[in-house]
Amino acid sequence: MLRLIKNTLRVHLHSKAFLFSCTGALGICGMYIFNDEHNTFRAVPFLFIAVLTAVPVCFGAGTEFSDGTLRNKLTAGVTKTQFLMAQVIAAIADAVIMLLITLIPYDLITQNALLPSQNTAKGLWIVLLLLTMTVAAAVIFAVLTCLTQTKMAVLLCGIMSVGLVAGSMWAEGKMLQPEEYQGNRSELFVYDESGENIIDSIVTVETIPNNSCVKGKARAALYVGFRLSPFSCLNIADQLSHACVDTVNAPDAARAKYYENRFEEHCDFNCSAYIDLWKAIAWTLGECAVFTAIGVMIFRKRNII
Amino acid sequence: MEYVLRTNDIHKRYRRYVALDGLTMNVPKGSVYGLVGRNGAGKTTLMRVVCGLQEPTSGSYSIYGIDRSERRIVQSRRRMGAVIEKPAIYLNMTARENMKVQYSLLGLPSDEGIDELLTLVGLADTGKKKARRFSLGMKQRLGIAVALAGSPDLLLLDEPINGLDPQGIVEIRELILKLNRERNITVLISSHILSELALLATHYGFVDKGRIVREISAEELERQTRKCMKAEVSDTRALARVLDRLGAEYEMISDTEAKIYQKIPITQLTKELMNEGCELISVSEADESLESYFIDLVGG
Repeated sequence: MLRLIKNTLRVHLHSKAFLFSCTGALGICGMYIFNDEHNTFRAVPFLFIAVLTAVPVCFGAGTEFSDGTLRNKLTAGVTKTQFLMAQVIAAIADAVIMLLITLIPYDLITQNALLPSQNTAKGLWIVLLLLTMTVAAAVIFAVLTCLTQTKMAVLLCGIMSVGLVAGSMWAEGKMLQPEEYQGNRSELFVYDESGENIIDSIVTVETIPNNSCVKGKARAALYVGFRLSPFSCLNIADQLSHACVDTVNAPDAARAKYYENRFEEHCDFNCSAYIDLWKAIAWTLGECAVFTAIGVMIFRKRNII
Repeated sequence: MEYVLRTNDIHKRYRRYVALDGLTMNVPKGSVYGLVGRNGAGKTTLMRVVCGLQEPTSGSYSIYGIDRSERRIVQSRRRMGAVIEKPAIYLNMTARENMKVQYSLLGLPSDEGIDELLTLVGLADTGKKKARRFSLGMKQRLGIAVALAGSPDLLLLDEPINGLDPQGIVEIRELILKLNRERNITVLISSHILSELALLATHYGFVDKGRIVREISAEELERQTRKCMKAEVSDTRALARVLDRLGAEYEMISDTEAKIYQKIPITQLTKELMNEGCELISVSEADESLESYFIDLVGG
C-alpha cells in the first residue's frame, strides 16, 4: 500500500494540472492581498483554493482511467479499495500543499494578519478550519472522480462546489434570522410636581415577529445541512476572523456571553456552532470518512473498462 | 499437461447483455494461445475478467492453479502482465519514466532491467520523448514493456496489432515469438486478424457468443485444414475398404463424406468403388485456411 501511495503521489505532484493549480492558487491570493489596503485576513480566497483542488485531484485520478494505467495496478494485485484510498491520500496531499503554499506567503505579506502575535490561537483555529475545508473538498472530489472514472468529473465537482457554497451560505443566513424585530420605540417621561424635571421614564419597544425565522425541525435540518457542507468551515473561519482578539482565548463563560451579545438580535441561532470549533472540524472530517466509505463500497462493484 | 490459466463456465452479464456465456478454456504452459473470434464474441471481456478488472457473474478461473476466490490470487496476478485494448501508459511521461513507475509499483528493488526491456521492445533510444508523441506501434511496444516489468510468466495481449502498419505488425509478431521462445513466456493473444495469428499461435481457442466453440492445437488445426479431396459416397464403409487397400490417409467426417489426404486418380477411385458396389456422388478439392475453418465453425 505504501508503494502504491508513493506511486500515486508521484503521478499527482509531477502533473501539469498540479503546477497549474498551485500557480492559480498563488494568483488568487495575490489578487486579494494587493487589492486590500488594510492587510486584514480574508477567508474568501481560500474558498477558491479549495475548489481549485478539483483540478489536480480530478485530473490526477482521472488520468489513471483515461490512460488505462489503473489496469496495470489491478493486474499487479492492487485492489480497488487500495486504489481509491491511495487517490484519497494523494488528494489530501494536493490540498495541504496548495493551502500551505498560499497561507504562508499570505501571512507574511499581510504582516501576520492571519497569525498575529497577540492572538496566535485564533489564527491557528482559522488555519485548522481552512485545512479541514480544503482537505474535505479534495477527498470528495477524489471519490467522485473514481466513481465517474473520468477527468471530466472536474466539471461536476465545480458545479457541486458552487451548490454547496451557496447552500451553506443560504443555510447560515436562514439560521441567523432573528425571532423578532424591534418595532416602534416609545418613551414616556414622568415629571416631578414642578413639571420641569424628569424623574423617571418608561420605555416601550414594540416587537414584531419575524416570519422568516426558521424554527423546530426545519431549523434542525438546516443546521445538519449547514454542517454537511465542507464549506461551512469557511463560514466559521470567516466569522472567527471578525471576532475580537480576546474572545477566543477567554474562558467559556465569557465567550458564551460574547457570542450571546453578538447574536442578541439573532438569539435563535445556535451559537455553540461558533464556540465548539472542534465540532465543526469533527463533523466535516466525519462526513468525509462516511462519504469515502460509501465510495469504496460502490467502486468495488464497478466494472473497470 | 500443465496449464497456466484455466477458466470454468465463466459467465459475465452487463445488465441484459450477456458477454460471456459459460466460457471454459485451458491455456497450456509455454504456449502462444490464440483467442479467435468476431467482434463482440467476448475476447476482451474474458481478458478483463482474468486480469481482475471485472468480476464474473458466475463461474471460476484459476491462474497457476490458484482459484480466483483465494487470497493468493494476488500473488498469481503478479506473475502476469497484460495489455488490454490500448496500452496502459502515462502519456505525459517518457518510456523510462513509465517503466520506473511500474517498477516502483511492483516493489522491484532497483531499476536494473529497464534498459534491457526497452532494448528488447526497441525503445531504448527514445530519450526524453513523452509517450504522447509516440507512434501507435511505439505505444504498443511500451505497453508490452510495462507488462513485462516484473518478469511475468504469462502475458495477455488483447488485439495488440490493431491499427498498426505492416512494419509495426512484423515488429510485434517478432517480439511475441522472441518472448515465447527465448523467455518461455506463455502468451494469450486475442485477434481477429487470423493470418497473423496463424504465424504465432501454438494453440487456438475459437470464441463465439461468449463461449469457446473449439480448442485445438496448431498441429491438429494444420492437419484439419491441409489440402485434401472431399468425397461424397453412398457407402462410407465401402469407401473405407477401398482407401485402406490403396493405402491412402483419410478421415470420415460424416455418414456420407470423407476427406482423403492423398492424390488418387478419380477414375481409379470410381472403378474401385464400383467394384465394391458403392456410388461416388461427388468429389471436390478442399484447401481450408484458418479463415474458412473459423467461418465453418461459427457460421459465416
